[in-house]
Amino acid sequence: MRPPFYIRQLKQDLEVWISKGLVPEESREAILSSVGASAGGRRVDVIFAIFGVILIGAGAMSFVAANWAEMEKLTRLIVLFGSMWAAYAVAIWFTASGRAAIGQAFVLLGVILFGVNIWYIAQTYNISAHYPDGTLLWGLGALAAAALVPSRAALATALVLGGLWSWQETQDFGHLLHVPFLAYWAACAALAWYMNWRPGIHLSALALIFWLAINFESLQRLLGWGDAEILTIYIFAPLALWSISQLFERDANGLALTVGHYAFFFFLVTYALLHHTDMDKHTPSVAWMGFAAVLSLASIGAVLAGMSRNIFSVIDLVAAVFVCATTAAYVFAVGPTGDRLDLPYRVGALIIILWSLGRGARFDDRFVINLSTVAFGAWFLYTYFEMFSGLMDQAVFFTVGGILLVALSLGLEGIRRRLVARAKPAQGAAQ
Amino acid sequence: MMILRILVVVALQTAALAYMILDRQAMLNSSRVVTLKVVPVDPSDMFRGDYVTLNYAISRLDLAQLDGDDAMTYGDTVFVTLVRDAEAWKAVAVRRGRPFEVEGGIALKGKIDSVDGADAGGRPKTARVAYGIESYFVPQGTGTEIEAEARAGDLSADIAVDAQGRGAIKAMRSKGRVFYVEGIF
Repeated sequence: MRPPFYIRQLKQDLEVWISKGLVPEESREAILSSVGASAGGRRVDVIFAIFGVILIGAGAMSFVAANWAEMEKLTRLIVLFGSMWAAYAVAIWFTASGRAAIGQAFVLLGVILFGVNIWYIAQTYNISAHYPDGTLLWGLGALAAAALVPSRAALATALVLGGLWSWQETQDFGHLLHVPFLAYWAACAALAWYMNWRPGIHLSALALIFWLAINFESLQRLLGWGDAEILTIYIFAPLALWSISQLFERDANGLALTVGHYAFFFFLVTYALLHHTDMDKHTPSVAWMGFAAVLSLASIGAVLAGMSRNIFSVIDLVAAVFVCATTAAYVFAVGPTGDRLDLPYRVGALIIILWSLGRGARFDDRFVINLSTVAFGAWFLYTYFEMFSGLMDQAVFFTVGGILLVALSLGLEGIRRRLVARAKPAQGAAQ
Repeated sequence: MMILRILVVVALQTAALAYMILDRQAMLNSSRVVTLKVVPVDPSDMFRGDYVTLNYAISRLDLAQLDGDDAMTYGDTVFVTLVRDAEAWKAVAVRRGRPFEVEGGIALKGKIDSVDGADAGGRPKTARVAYGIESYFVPQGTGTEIEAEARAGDLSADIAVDAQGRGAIKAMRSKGRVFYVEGIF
């Protein structure tokens, strides 16, 4: 799988190469499919078909519900099984007649009806034991369809159902860290990677982030750590993951790029949230200190390793050390100092947002640039409306901050001009 | 090839649904049946339409009055041993992990839903147990009628218990008269 910017460029280059006779026309599709792309855009007929089967699925649910009381058990079973089999029969018919994409939409309908059948059979036979098992069964059915057919829509459904299953286990049944989800998630993510399906990778990343978010309290109960300590897991771990993912070749590995993006997104959001944790006077445990030390070393070590390959700069190293040090320091300081940490950690968050923006610009990474811009907007709005009680304090903070940023901008521009000026005579001498 | 794969998916999903039905039928065929007094309420569920929630006398256990274990926490799997007491059955023992054997008793498997109170040793005084037989699905709009019967103390349920201790609603009774029998069709 290749990242989107690579595929966009390859499509443009292919048109030029074909027009110049460098590449035969008939090789276009083969070349594009080898990098996980296709010559055509997204087909609107397939999108309409998928939307259509979702509506049909909802209609089938409502129809069965509306006539449920009047139906005998045997009639119910005929309707339930018959509708599912009919959906797959239509999928087979479309596939056999050369319209596999539309057939895929009906595979999705079959998966939806499989889930509907689980719930209605449970209702018919008064099966009420641990209902998240029903969601898991539905998800496994979707995953089987995704892997066997194969079906991207079924995989997306499986990921959504996996999230729902984990939500039910953790929120409705107080599950102590829902670890089985990780095995389910790994199967989905591996399939998305095997299918070379980028949105599937994105969905997998989002599903994992969702799981991490809903397991915050479970982690706390399991580890016995304070709010701030638990939140640092969500900073140290994605920072380490992002640092390590950057060491992989960006253009050649879309997975590393995607993982890096989501890890960075997660890290940036949680770092900004750090000062929101309760002011609990929880003494940091030895286990947490070990955890923080290991992951800090992993992050900083990855940055150091990448510096020789120009993946990371000295600024990145300083930023990584800054994040690790300020995150660890917060856990020690949160109890005794209370609200006084708000201002320094607001400033810390701004420093990290600016660093992120600079790094995004350096690598021309639109995801990081956009994320940093949104983060700056959120930071500004929060700081403007929430942080200062007095208008004068607010005015001083923003004016000084603005002057410093403009000065920084002018300073950077001056450095850039000096470097360009130095480079020109050197080039002239060389010629 | 893709057609064959779709057929495999159909077979797997059909087998999963068939297993749900046949497993329930195997439980209902058990010769071990206990009758329990119930007191329902009437919530609604997005997925399941109307149903009544059945509270049994054995749903809340006074641990001091029972043989077996008394140190248990949320989520523990327990076996509640029941013995016949006139028309209905009552709990005489509870134990985690495996049944507490009592002559003439039948052990019903459940999960601790919550525990309340604590004695001097920190052990709970009462425990609420879910057996997976707490929901009874009814035609839309009839839930309140059944609830009224339950309030009058007229409702009871026959529970089939399989060899593993799992329970399934086999029949519902009003004033001792069977008005619903669970069957495959």
